Amino acid sequence: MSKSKLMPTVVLSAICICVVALLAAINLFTAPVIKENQEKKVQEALLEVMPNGGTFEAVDIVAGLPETITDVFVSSNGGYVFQTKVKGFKSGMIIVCGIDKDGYITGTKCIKSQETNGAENILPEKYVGKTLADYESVEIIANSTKTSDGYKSAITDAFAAFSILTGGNE
Amino acid sequence: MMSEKKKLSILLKGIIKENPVLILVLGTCPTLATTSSVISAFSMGLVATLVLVCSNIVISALRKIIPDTVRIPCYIVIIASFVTIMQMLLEAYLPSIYDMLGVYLALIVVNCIILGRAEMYARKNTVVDSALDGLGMGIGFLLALLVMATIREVFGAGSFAGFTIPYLESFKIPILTQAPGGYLVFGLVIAGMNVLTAKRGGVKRKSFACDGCAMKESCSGECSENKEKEDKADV
Repeated sequence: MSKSKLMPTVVLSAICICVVALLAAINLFTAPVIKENQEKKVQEALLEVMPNGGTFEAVDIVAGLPETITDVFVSSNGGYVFQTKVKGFKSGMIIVCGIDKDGYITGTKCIKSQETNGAENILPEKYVGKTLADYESVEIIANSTKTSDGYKSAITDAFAAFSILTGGNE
Repeated sequence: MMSEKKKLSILLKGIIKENPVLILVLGTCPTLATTSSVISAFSMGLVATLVLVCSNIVISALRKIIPDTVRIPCYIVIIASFVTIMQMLLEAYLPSIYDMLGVYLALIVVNCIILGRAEMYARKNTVVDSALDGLGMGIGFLLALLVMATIREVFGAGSFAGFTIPYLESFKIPILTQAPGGYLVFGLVIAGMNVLTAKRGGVKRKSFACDGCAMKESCSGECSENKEKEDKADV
């Protein structure tokens, strides 16, 4: 292979290797801080979606729960908080949903998203107090159909998981 | 003395004469998206400036090593790496700013200003000049965002940087904080800039050749040479 054909490949590869090394080095000291921030955010979100929840304990994910459920917490008063990862307009929308022992939604919150319309911040209050019987009546937000649908699918999965964990007595 | 004057002119040209947003009309997406509040506009401007300065320095330093055929992929890799570094640092140490900028933080990678300065300036000039050019363009971008955000937040939300302005709160125009208001304010600010530059004998807008180009001074005229070659090839 001639030098003129080899050089571009070598230079681009060398730049990529340097960049990867630099990013790996920075990730080494930012990753623990980011993880800590996210855990703090989750704890704050747990209390926000279930203010009277007392203390929360992580529960192992059992077989049969919807695939979108990433974490389950049980509160000291018998309620459950589900963390789901669903797709809205973009993927990776993380929503926490609190359901008390009587099957009422105590609160929901989007803790991470790449959505651009901000609908994920308007939707939470619409679901408070809803049950499995009437949560589907929450209307979508105009111009944010995919975000609204994604949010609703997270609530559907949370109710499905609640039903499994409580033996279907919601 | 002459050299100092030249360096100062490299730094200052990005602020008014070659302002990337208001004269070159580049980086319109983040300009419209992040100027609904002063804090998000300031954060975006600052992050873009840092990326611009760093990428200009690295691209200028590597300009003799990077072959022409792969220069654009190389520039993109370098710019993307600085954006990713900024993302990681913001997510770790300033999470509220990270959440506020959202998807627009990652979109800095495809910001025309950054790639444009790499292609137009950094690959042809020294490291110091490129750093000054990046800083000047970054400050110009930041100032344009701040002007837009101030108008939109003050008159659209009746507040400044989150602090409510008592009298204006009763007379706010909410559409200014939304997309149509963004376009309206953008047009008005560009019009204002045109008036300002016209008074100073600014850019000859009616010419479509090199004389009408705001980047005439930093461009070596390669674009017109290339066009001539293409025209000849077509014939």
